Amino acid sequence: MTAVDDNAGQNQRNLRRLVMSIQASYGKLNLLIAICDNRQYRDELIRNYETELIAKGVRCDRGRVDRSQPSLKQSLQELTEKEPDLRSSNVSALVTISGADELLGIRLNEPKSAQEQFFFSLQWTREGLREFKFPIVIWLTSNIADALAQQAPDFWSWRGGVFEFSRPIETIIPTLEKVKDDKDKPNEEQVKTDPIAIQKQIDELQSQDPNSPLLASLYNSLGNAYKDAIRYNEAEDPYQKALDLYKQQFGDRHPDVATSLNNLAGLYYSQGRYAEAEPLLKKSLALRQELLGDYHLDVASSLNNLATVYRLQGKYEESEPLFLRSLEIDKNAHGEDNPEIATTLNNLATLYRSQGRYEEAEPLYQKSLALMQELLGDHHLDVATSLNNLALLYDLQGKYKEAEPLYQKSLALWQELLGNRHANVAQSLNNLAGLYESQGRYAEAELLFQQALTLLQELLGDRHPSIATSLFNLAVLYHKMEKSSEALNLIQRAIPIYEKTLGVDHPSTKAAQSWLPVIKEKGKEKKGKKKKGGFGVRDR
Amino acid sequence: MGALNSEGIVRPHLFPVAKFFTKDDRHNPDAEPIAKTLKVFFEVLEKRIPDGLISTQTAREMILKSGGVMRELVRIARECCTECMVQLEIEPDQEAVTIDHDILTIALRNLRNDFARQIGSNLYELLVQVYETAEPKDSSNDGFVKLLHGLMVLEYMNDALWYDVHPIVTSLLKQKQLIS
Repeated sequence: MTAVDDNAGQNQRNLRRLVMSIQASYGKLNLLIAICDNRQYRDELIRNYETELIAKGVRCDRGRVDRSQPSLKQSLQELTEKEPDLRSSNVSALVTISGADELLGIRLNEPKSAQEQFFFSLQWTREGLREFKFPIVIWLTSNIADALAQQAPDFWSWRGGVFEFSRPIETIIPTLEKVKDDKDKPNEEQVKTDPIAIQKQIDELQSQDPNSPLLASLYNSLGNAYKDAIRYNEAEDPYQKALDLYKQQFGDRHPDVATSLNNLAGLYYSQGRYAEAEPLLKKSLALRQELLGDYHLDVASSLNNLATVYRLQGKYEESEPLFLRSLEIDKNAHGEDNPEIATTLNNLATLYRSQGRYEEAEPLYQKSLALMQELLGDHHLDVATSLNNLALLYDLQGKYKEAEPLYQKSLALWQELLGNRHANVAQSLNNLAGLYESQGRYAEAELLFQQALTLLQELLGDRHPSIATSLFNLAVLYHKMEKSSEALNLIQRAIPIYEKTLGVDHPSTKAAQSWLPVIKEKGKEKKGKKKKGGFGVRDR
Repeated sequence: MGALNSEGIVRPHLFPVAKFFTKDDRHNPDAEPIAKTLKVFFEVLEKRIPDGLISTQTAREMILKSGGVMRELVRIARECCTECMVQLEIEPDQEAVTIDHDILTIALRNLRNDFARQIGSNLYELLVQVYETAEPKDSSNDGFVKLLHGLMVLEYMNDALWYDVHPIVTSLLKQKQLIS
């Protein structure tokens, strides 16, 4: 499957615009803004134009800005000191600046975030850039480009062009991720029976002592019970009641309130309501930091959860430092070998995978898996998760032979531990289907995708991002199998679910939307309309 | 004792924002642009773009889209040139690629997108208000200063100052159906 046709045309045209702008400005300062959210694709584009230009005798250098030095001017100065030839205006040279797309937008013990420092230095050292007499391509993500345009208007007004590139993700396969949900925290005895039994206990207690302090923890257990039974809609109310009761009992600032906030957020997470989970997690984190200190394990767990929710919303820059901080706290408390660390390593690896940083993800997944196996034995749910995630990484890297046995092993483990009707089993089927699809084994893929979709619909109802993903995956498969009308039907069902659950700006929503015209186009082609070749897309 | 002199110091020249229309005629589709201003802008284009590569009609369109800001004229012209170069590369057989209406349309679309990035989401209301009344409710308002600073709103001078939305941003507002 080649890249998406429409997008490919626009991307190709923008790449040519970029090259033309570079070629028109050797020996002169020209600030070219390139935008791409897909890291891998960005690297591919850089390689692409550099190869072309080097063949034409152009020297291509690279510079970086980073957290420790968020200044374009300084990084250019260092580069030109190292490479004095760049100072000569007779040389055809290009400098590519990366790293600005990785600067953090949140503040970590400093008055300004790295992004703000970067914008500030652009805005106020603009004149100083005149000394650099070559075209400069600065790579940004679209979010950072928006912020830059707004926060460094003088710099922005000097731009020599803006070039935007996008590549949708081929198929999004959900990962299984572990959110630490503190179930056992309110430490009254755990009642792990069915919801009805707990509800009965609540009713009895309420009739005897309506103000019993035990009620809060019972409501919490009821929430857990519904959640474990994947009856999410019914879980929200008891979690909310537990939270209200804890607040009544202890006031707004108490560790149990923080835990209760975290549990409600955990439910929203399971439902894919990430935007609603985020503020709860932030509140819970702030409370814990205040009440328990910066190095408490619950703080680590909160950081991990918030980072995960950031990742799922595509806020990758915000996510990474939180995982790293969480890891640091865990290591401080337990040393290197413990299940908490394995979980955080796994989640951090998943972030890297989402960003396309596969080489960095692999050793983390491997370490996480090894730790889990060592600490928990081979027959454990977390081991299954870990196997699945490593398999998915191999799958994305095209290492299908390595991926397949790992997927199968994790599927078998889940079936053994959870039975056949469980969301994890569905996701596992889905992942295996994706692997078959990548290998062109469409018939096998179709069967498994359908099984996964049916199972998910039974378990989750119709409004869950996993359902949308499942529909989307099947749509893309049908598109490849040239079953256009089926594909169109499914993608049109997937998009509104994404929009409602994840929001219009979520990468998954955008990815699904970007497939819609492609699938439609294929449908038209099939009806005999011949498509014109070339990429001279003109907007009239 | 020598006097201080300014040798070697490059004194920046201020380009005032030129007016193509009077305040009253600013949105009148039938109004004729002020000939003197138009002529200056034409001359700048003539010096930068060789004969025959742009028609008078397209040049005029381009000039009016600059809102009277010289740097914006250069920006639009450069964007058009880049688009032409791309077009030439795609269709090398085509001999007569010139800056025509289609090329200008693409260039303006690119620049419109750049503006959209800059405006963010919360300044549209203010833009509409400036478009309609030619003045801000409060000229020290942060949002307004930002719009002015980013050339999204342009400041024109007669006896009194008046303001208008940059023509490219105006088309963005029309596209979003915020003004008619």
